[in-house]
Amino acid sequence: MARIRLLRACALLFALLCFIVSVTEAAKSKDAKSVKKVKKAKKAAEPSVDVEGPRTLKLSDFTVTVRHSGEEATTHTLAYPKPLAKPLTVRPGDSLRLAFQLDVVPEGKAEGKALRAHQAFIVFRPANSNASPDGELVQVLESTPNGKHRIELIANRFAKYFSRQPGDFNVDVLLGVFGNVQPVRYPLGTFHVDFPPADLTDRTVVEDLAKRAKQRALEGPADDGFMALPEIEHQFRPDDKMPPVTFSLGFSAVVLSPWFVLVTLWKLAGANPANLPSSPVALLAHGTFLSCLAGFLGLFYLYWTQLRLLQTISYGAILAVVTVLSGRVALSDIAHRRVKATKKE
Amino acid sequence: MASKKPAVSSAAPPPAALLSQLWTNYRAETGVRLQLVDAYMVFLLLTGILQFVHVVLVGTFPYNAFISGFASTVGAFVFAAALRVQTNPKNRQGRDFSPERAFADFIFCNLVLFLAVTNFIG
Repeated sequence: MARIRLLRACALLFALLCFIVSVTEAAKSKDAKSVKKVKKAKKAAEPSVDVEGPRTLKLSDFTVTVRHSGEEATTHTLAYPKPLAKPLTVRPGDSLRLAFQLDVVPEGKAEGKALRAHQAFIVFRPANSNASPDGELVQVLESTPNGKHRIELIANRFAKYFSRQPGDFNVDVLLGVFGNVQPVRYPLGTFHVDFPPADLTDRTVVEDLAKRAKQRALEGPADDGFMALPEIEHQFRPDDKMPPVTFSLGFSAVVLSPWFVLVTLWKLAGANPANLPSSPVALLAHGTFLSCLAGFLGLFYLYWTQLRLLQTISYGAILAVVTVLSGRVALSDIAHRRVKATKKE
Repeated sequence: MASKKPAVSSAAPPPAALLSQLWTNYRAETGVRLQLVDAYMVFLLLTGILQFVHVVLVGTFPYNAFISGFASTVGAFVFAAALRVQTNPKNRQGRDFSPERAFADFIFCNLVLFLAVTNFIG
């Protein structure tokens, strides 16, 4: 057993070594390749994001333009992070345009570089969030590599959404950039959306509402981010009922009592334990046979308490050889004596 | 078991007399070896019954222990019955092996049974 274990361990160690060698080789060749690539790419590299220190985002030329249908457009210029001075009103048929320039400025410097945000959204959040079955309206800003961001919203495109919950909306602009850059949430202020409420007598509207309600029921409650579920604790089952120890011991004696019956009956039947064989060889064989049987019982006891099945079987195989040989001698001795006795009769 | 001889008198004898008659006939006509095996079988029967009584009183909690103990008595009883059948001289019908051979079979079967029981005892 020990030798097999040793061999197995050696094989495992060897496999591990091979694996480590192959991995380090692969890593070396990869390094070489990537070094070459970097050398080639260095000239055309974009402004690298990760190597630099902490930086901040700078928004400039921020304009919000509202064009009411059939009217001149009104443009509001905002200075980040100040919100709009007055709430804007949006009506059906209006269009809303938002544009700004984004730069990234290293800390402690005045000038920055133009940067395209990796994530840029405008979010309409109903001011009265209790009365908003549909949640927020999120739209993605368009952007160019030289830092220009814009979005043009046609109010009528969202007519259904706004009709279901007309009123005040808090509008935010969200900007996110990879690397050591503080993201931006820019609250633009309140937009008053002046849409006619959904007409509940219209069949299409009612059907649409029912469809949405069904969908929401399927989706379940909106989750505000992920939460840790309650910890799963192992539940131990209550202990099984056990009788008192004295009762168990007493009943063990009761279950063993048939041994007394057995011995009594054997005496009654006339068992003759003194019927020993004459020759010492046969005596030895009998003794060996009986002790082998006792050895089997002892082996089974050890199997119950400590040994494994394979160990038990291997020890049992050795014991079996001795048992068979001695048993053959002993039983044939008995047979000879039996035949002799019957012949005498 | 030994067959019961009909009572000599025509009137029905009391049951106690019948039983004593049965007992004396059994003692007289059955070989000592068979009587030893019979005693062993009675012993197994009692042991099994007492284990069952324990389960009835207390419950089956260490179920493996009960099953293995009960199964070992039942199995040993079956092997003893087979030994009795094979060693009974009246059953020699074209069978040509000695009671010692039957005893060796009995020992082997019991060893296998006890290994299985120990494996199951838990």
